[in-house]
Amino acid sequence: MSLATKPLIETTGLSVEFGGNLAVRGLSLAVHPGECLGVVGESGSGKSVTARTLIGLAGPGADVRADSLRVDGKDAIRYTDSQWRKVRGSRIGLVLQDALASLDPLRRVGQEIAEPLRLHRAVPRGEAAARAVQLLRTVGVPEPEIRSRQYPHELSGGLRQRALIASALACDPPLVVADEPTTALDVTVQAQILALLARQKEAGTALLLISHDLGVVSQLADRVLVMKEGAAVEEGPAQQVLTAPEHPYTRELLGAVPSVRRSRVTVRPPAVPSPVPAQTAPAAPPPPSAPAALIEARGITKSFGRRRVLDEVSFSLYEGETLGLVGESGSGKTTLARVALGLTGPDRGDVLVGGRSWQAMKGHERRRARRGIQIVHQDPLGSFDPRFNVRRVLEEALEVGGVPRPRRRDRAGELLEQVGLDGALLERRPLHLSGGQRQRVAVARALATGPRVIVCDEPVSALDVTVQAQILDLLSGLQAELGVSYLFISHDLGVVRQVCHRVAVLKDGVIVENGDAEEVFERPRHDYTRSLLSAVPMLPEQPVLAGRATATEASS
Amino acid sequence: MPSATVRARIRPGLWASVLFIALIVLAALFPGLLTSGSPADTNIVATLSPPGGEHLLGTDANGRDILTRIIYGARPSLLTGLGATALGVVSGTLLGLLASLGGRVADEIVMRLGDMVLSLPSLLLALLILSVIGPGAVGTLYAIAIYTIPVYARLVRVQTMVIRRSLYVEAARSLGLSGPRIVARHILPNAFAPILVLATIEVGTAIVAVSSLSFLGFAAQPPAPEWGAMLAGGKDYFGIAWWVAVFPGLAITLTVLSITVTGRWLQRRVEGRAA
Repeated sequence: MSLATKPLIETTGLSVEFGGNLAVRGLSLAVHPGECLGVVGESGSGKSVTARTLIGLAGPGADVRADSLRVDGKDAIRYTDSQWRKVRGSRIGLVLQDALASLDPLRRVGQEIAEPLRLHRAVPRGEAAARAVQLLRTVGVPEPEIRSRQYPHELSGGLRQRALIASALACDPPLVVADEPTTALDVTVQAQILALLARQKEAGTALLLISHDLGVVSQLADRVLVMKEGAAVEEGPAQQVLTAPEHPYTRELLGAVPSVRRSRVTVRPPAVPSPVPAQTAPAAPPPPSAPAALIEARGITKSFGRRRVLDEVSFSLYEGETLGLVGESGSGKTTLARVALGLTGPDRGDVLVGGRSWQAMKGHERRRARRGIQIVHQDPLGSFDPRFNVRRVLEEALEVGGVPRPRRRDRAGELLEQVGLDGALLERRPLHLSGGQRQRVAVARALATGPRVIVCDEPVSALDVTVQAQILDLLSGLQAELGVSYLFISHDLGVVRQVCHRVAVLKDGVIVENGDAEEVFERPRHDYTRSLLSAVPMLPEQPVLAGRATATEASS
Repeated sequence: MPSATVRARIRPGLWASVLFIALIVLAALFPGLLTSGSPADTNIVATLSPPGGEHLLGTDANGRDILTRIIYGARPSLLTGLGATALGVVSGTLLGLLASLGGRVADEIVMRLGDMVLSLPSLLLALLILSVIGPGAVGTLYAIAIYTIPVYARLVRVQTMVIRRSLYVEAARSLGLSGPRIVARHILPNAFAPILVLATIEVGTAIVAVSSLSFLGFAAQPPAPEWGAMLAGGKDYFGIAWWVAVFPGLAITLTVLSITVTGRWLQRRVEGRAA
């Protein structure tokens, strides 16, 4: 068994430089046959560059140096492109995040899968097609004969990812490199893909799994390597790294991961009517004695063409609380947000804002009402006029809020301070800010008009976990300070668990479960909620929750 | 970082273009600074004298100094080129906004009218208009501008429709800004950057158009020092005195080339920033 001990891929002292920027510095790693090495890191940590370099795809602009780089025991430092091409596909399979971009849109799925076979093994055309169907079956694609004749755009995201994995497995490579293989997928689909990768691992394929998501890595990895700023900060057996991390950065990462098991909501807002009796009937109207809702949606129905996106959706949002709207892609979450904001009208039903319907308001009344209900988008950069700097973004919102011109500049500075940013950023353009800073500016803008409600549409989905935790802290802090209510829309159950008092679960435009967050997460009643919750990859229980990353504001 | 390398790269072509444009603008504003003569001064003794000596670029059949006439010819060329472009940009932008924001009927009318204009050859259209209005500076302006109006209108329409659906316009709406304010503050300024770039390049095209019309005798009339008219005047002597036609032609070519090079550079800057 001398083969079993020899690593499939191995490097020591690997450095990759792009025009003077060191993306990877002095990294060493090895993947042995049959094992899974998980590489974890936040954006910019160099994990994807590492993966690409290890398969000879660092790119023309990259300056790669290493003390050693061995593929299958052979020195690969000076491999030419054609030598790498022989390795890729036959010895190492590659699975990328975006399956739609990775599959040729003009070729049938079956041809795409068969391509590595034809390249590396000279399999006859007819046989290759049969093998493609067989591979699709292996990765759990239903009706593989039909699917292999379809084009990538005709497949769902989950099926496309399976097809991509099938093409990576086509030549039975001993090693598969998977770079964020489930990041673009819904949790239930993600769980299926992870199960598929786990089956491949059991069948003997080694895996180099790259992910920002510790939960995903914990499902598969035997060993975990944590990267930060291009270097490894910690490496060891998965169980040890994930439950008893040694490095403070690993602890910070683990502490920042929002868990569906625990909530960070401590103080219940006084204005929320007791949720317990309302539990029995989903989407029940509040008892007559309850305080008036800030937003009350009644039987919202909305269709685009033939497709019904929202079906009889009702909810109420009260003073000082956070209502979570959970659902997978296509569940109608964002449409519901737009309807709640009065940006688009429902086909049937009504949204009452402070007791008045959006529909019944005249133009200027509606504009006035909008000041009271603001939004924070998932993509803050897209929500700022590209010509504006931070000061103009905030001053415009202050103008709408009725702040006189001479006071706007000072108020803009105060707003930045309120969201934990330095006033010096006022003259910067959002393009030159970090993701966390941009989202803080977006929150500051939302606060400028003095709203009572802020709709948060996936506000932290595009952020790294540590930054995500900081933004969630900021939102909670502002709620305690200002008593603002949030309608919090997210696909991420962990995040919702962290910040929400009440939760509504949306599936295909219908609220299937609605109630107190504690209830929904601990004792879900609807099957769909249960399947969502069980699909979330969970970290192993940690004995000591070493000090949750308490807002390291400066580093955001 | 690609932007840094773009900035650091030395571009002699670009610098030469900018310099040449500066020279032409100077000639248009203060021709007296560049030459002491007058474009109408004739010298019967020195008709069709070759380049060199007293007349750097030679003289024409009436003994007029060609360099002086080219310098004085910058003003009408540039003025008509800029004027026609400005007219095209302003009317095109307004019509484009009307098409994109004014509802389906307005959109159909504006766009189909534009298609009609663009379906005719540009020179034919210009001659048609000139024959109705009559030759002269104002007529030339309209004749050249009309063909560019639908081009700008289409561009503004598409830009506006994209920007109108952008997240930042939605953000402005949910902030409570009124419709006209969103158009004035967010949609129009953002739609305008590519228009400005196109307009820069189109100034060159307009200058060629002015010259072609003058060449055919429809715009500037013979005694006036206009590049196209000079070209026309020189074509009869091309066999014996090439310089009479070649130098005005070169002036047109270099001006248009410089404007195009500068415009393309602007375009890359704007697109690079957007990406």
